[in-house]
Amino acid sequence: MSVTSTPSADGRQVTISVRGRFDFSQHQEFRNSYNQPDAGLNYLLDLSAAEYMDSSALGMLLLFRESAEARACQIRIVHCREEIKKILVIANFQKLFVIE
Amino acid sequence: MSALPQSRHHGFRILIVDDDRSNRLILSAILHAEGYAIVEAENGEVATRVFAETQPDVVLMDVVMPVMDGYAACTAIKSLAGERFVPVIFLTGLQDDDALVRCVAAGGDDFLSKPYNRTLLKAKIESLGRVAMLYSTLSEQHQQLTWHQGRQQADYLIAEQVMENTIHSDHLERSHFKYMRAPSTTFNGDLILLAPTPSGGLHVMLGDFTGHGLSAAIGAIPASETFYGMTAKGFGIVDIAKELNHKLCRILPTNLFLAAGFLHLDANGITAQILNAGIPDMLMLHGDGELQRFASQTMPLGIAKNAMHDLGRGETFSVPHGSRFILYSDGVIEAQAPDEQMFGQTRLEACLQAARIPEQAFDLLLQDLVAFRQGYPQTDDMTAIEIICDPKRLSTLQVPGQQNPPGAKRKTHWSLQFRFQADSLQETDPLPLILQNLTELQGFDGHRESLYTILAELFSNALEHGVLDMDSSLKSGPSGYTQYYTERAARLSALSDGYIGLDIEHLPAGDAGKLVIRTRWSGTRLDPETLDHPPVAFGPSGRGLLLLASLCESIRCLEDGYAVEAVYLWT
Repeated sequence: MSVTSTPSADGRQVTISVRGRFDFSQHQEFRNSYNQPDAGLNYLLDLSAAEYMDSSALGMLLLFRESAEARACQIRIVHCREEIKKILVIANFQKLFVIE
Repeated sequence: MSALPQSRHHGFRILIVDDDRSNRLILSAILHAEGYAIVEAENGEVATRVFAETQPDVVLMDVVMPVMDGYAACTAIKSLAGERFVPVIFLTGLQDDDALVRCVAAGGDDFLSKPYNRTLLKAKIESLGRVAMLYSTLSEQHQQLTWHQGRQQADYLIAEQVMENTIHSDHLERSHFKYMRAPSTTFNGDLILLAPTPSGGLHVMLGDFTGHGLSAAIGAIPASETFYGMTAKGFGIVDIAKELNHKLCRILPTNLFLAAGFLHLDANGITAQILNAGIPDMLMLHGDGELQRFASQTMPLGIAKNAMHDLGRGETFSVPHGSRFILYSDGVIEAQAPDEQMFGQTRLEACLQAARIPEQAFDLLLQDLVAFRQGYPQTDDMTAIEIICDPKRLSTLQVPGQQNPPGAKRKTHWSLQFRFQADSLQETDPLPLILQNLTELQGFDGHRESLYTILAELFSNALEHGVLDMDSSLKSGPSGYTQYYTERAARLSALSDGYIGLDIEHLPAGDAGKLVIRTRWSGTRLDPETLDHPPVAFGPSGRGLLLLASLCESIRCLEDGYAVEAVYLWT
């Protein structure tokens, strides 16, 4: 499984990890990782193990954001490697996501 | 057919081939009791006929028979079955391994020896029946897959044709700019668009859609129409990008967007504007090998409606003599070698700078890319283009597939008045809109470029020297243009007072038309002497009042230096 979704003990936070290549082949898995029905959750997207991200992955992030906004959830992207951070910055995604 | 309607083998048909009638009876009775349907044949030849007529699911085949034996019949039946898997179980009195080998060699799938074990017989039929079902399911799935692949291929061809019509590759060819378009699949989904501006400059757009195939082609249509249409009307690249962003936000689903880089090169080849919305660094390679980078400054287009809110009117900068721009999509820097290493921007830049002659830089880059990849398959489209800043080159560029406005209109009498206060001067570039109005009123086929130039010169004179009180001598010197335009932008955004008025009147004059354009402004007075002895560098295209004088019938100063009137005659 290259995408894992782990809720916290109190259920208010969900940590989603993506490992390896983050591209269209992770489409369904990634979608499933954030399909909780609850509102007001805090999502932590951990990209520390993501080696590569392409434009379709950026598109999947946009869908994630849309789903989160509809349920008043927050997203934080954490532990990006330099290469991944660079891709996010070129696309100016720091204007759409909190990136740490 | 079946005596037991609830049997789970209902409809499953078995062909029993044996020259011994009593054998056939025994087997038939056993299997009929299980709910199987039975058909019989007394030799190999009859068996092939019955097989063709009744299409059984399993065949029980005796070996020794007159007319045609079991082995020959098996071969014939397997051939008749074609794509279908029909198990053949040999019935043999022989016990040895040799018998099994011969059965399999003849195409048989299993064998059963006499005396017949009822349990074993039923088990073998059931197990082979399962295999046959599995085979048939796979076969059907394979057919569906082939059909879908065919559909997708057809869709790809449609998308390819649309992209072709959109980009006008032959136009790209004739531009004489060096470029590379290498598709990863059937066709390249990246856009390279080139178009001349009405004032003789050049607009370039390199675009990279998320996704391939149809999704890229769908976005390409509004993107190119907007780009060509607005460029022809004289809009700048920032306005074009904003409009394109707005359109794509409306049309494209959430996860699709267009990363794009825009370049505007002025007709003089000395000044340029760049807007990078999400593509890798756009590069300017100086004649001396110095490399200047223009990094992404805003989100790709089609994501957020107000993404370009804070871009203002864009920055203009000087282009040193002998420079060239190099634009490329991320497929180039992400190109992989067999060891899965990526080409990378560092290597790309080093390659360009390593060229001893700048003219060779682009070719060297393409060669190095091929050498690096060693034929490793592409996962993304690769696109790159080099734009040389040569005024002579720009003047030969044509507009691709341009639709001309409908036929020659009668020359009529009309007038328009515009007045722009300080706030509208800050917000809008009114020239394309004014030109649009003139064109719709009177056509002006073949004169639109001249009219745009005249309007642009008059307007910029009124704005820069009148309202903003700029000193055009600032333009001389190596980074003079950059300084000038930075200062211009600063003064414009600080402007609180001031206006420009435009009076445009058109009258018929015999067969010709006479267009009288008056600009008036607040601020600094224009010395009438300037019109008689125009300075060399003046106005946005750098060709200045000299050009105005050559295009217009007459040009004179009015209202004691706060207005200029130009008269244009045309047929």
